[in-house]
Amino acid sequence: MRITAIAQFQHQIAGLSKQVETIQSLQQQVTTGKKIIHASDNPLLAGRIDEINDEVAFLKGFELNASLAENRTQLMDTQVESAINLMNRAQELLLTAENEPTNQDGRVVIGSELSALLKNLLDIASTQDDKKNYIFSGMDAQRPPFALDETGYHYQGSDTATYIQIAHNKLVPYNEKGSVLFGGSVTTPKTLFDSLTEVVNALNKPVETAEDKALLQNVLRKNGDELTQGLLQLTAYLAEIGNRGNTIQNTIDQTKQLIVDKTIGLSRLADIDMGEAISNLTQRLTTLDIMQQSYLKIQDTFNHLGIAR
Amino acid sequence: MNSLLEIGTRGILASQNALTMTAQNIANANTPFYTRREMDFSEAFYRLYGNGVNVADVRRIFDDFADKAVLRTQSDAQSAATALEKFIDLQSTLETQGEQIEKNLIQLLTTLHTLNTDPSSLESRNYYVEQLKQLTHSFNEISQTLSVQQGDINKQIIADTQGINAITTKLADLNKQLLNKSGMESLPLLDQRDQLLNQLAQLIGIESQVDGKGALNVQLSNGTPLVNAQTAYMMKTYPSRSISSQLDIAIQVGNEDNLVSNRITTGELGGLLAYQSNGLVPAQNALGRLAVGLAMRFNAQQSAGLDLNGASGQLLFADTNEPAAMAARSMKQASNQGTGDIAVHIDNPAALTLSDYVLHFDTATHYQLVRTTDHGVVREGDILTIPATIEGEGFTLQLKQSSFIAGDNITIVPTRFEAARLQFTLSDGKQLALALAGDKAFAGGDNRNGLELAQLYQSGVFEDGSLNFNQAYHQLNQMVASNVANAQQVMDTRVILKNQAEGNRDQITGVSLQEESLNLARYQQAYEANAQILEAGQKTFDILMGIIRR
Repeated sequence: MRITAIAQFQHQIAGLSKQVETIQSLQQQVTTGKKIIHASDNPLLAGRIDEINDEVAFLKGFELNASLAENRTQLMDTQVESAINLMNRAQELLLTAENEPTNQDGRVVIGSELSALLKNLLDIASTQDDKKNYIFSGMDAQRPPFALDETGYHYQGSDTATYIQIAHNKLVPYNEKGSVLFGGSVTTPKTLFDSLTEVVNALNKPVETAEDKALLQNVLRKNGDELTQGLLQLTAYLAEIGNRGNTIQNTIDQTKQLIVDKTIGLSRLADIDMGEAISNLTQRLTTLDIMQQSYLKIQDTFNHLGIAR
Repeated sequence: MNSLLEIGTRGILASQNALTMTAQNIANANTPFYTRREMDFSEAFYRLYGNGVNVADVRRIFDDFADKAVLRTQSDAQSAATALEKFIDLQSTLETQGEQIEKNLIQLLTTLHTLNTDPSSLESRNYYVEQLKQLTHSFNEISQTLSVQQGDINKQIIADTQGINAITTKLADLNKQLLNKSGMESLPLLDQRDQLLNQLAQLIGIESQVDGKGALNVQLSNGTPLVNAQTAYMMKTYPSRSISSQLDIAIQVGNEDNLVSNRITTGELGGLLAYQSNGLVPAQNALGRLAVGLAMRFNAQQSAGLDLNGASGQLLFADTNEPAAMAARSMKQASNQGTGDIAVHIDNPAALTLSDYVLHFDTATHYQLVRTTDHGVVREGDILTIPATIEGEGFTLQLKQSSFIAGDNITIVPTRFEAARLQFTLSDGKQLALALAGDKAFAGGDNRNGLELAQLYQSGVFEDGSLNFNQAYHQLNQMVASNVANAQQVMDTRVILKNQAEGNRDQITGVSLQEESLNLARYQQAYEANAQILEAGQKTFDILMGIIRR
């Protein structure tokens, strides 16, 4: 076989540059820590990595929403619990007022405490979040849930709660409709605030006759029943919030776990084994060294042939 | 004795010529397309003992088969290299600008989640609107980059055809020069011809033969002539008569333009055309489909809702089926006899493909709608009444007047221009329709339509609902990545074949320095030996003269 000068030279150069190319790509892998620099290095793997990155991005969006939902649920929990405490105290006061030893002065004192309590309960119903949205006005988040006119308190928020998404196909309430908690819906038009107001008014009215007394007893009993009913509703709702909190907590845990799992999986797919990469690189560098030396040797041989190159 | 001197002189001259030739070979050892020469000696013989040696011929050592293999593999390797280079370009466009789209989509969803917790916040609404504007910008920008790439391809096609014309003109000229040259004089011209052929093969795949008179004829592989004896046929380019923004390539033979765009598959030109139809066009269509799907789905959801003013939602993006847009999706081919035109209405992103289509009339009324990627017939039938519609894949063709003639073709590009056309049309965040239109009184905190919108990001929109927006983008990414990987493999293989072919040719035509140095030594010895013959002749003569003088 004739080995021509041009071919010999070209073959050696081609061999050397192929080695250099491989070394460059290995070096890039080592510096970035990634198996894939361009998707074309391994299109299937790149596609899989894209897919997982997407899922993680979706999950992170949900994670953010879920922690907002968790905060919201905690806020509601605190507020509803306070409302329940207030209502319990109201019932105690009502019992005291109903009982015989309490005289007119005592009733006025109780009335003023109940009136303060009413204001507190109204404050709780009008809770706003850090964005100044009312959390018990449903979709009408910009409007206080209850307003007072000459006929009493009215629920003026929306009859629809708002929800946010915390996982694929999982929505949880965000702004609740206040009528569920404090009355004022179509089924129970009278609010707890109305009941309390009636009690306060009755307590402030002097009792002089037996008829007055019977009337007072009547008002106290009737509204007392309503307050008991309201307390039941609040307690039921508190339980619901507790459940919701658990659900959200579980979802957050699951989402976090999924993110961790997927990130680990992603790293397995996308990240190089550093030890292996470095040993490959070393091996290639050694090969390149040998090739360069053999190139020089061959050139040297030519010189010995006496051919000036 | 006379003959001794004659033999010596002839011998010295012959070895001198041989030495010169060897020196020429050595000097050109690294000259590309230099074909090594060999010398043929013949015995000079017209007297009893002979008259020495003659140089019979100096031959270029070549092998036609090996040369052709080099030309062929060179065209193949060059087309692969060109396509690869373009595909890598496309991949890096996606890695930089395309990735913006992907990031925007993910950010948009996160922002929307937050916005849904506080739908009346102007700040959050405007932030979401800003991100929608960015997304629109990303689409416009990448489609701009791809148009620039199309422009570059066109420039390169024009430069290549000019290069081809220059080479074929020179080849025709060489054919003329070679007619009047003797064998020896023609050697450098033949080397030059080889070099030109090689340059030509890099640009375009060719076939070539030498005819009986020594003229080289060159054709495209389908037989369209490029050089015939002393005539070069000029290659021309002009704006495509069937697809806007692309070029048609033709070869002018006589007064006739032979369209060859579809027949060029190898050489740099072949690589450019292959990339144009397998890389650039599908990428433009994929981005267009993504843009049109986004616009249609977002617009539909927006129309279902109420904005912060309680008004029903206005379009987020310019209407997909504006008359101008519908008209731009079809193009009458220049060869059409009829004046019929059509509008293309996009109905359903889930059924849209990445292909272009051709509506072909084989009679004035009978049509076939053909997918260009696989030549599948999507629909065929007769247009009997006007106005008529033809249902395509995710789109409907609207025919307002029927004036088609048998043979008419209309090119349909449903999604090609949609990424460029994507236009955000809301003026501020208040106009985002996050509330649900319904029987209930409007409320600013209503996020129900917003929740539906968020669901849209996660639901299947394309390919029969199997791909959401992000996945559709990834499909494009992966398609390009596979193309790059594939082009890389094809090129590696073709380069190996080219190297083998070149190796085979060089083994025959290339200069081996070892061989030449041995020849050098051999001819040097011959020269010295012949000089000895002359000296012997001289001495014989001197002795003879001495005898005579005595």
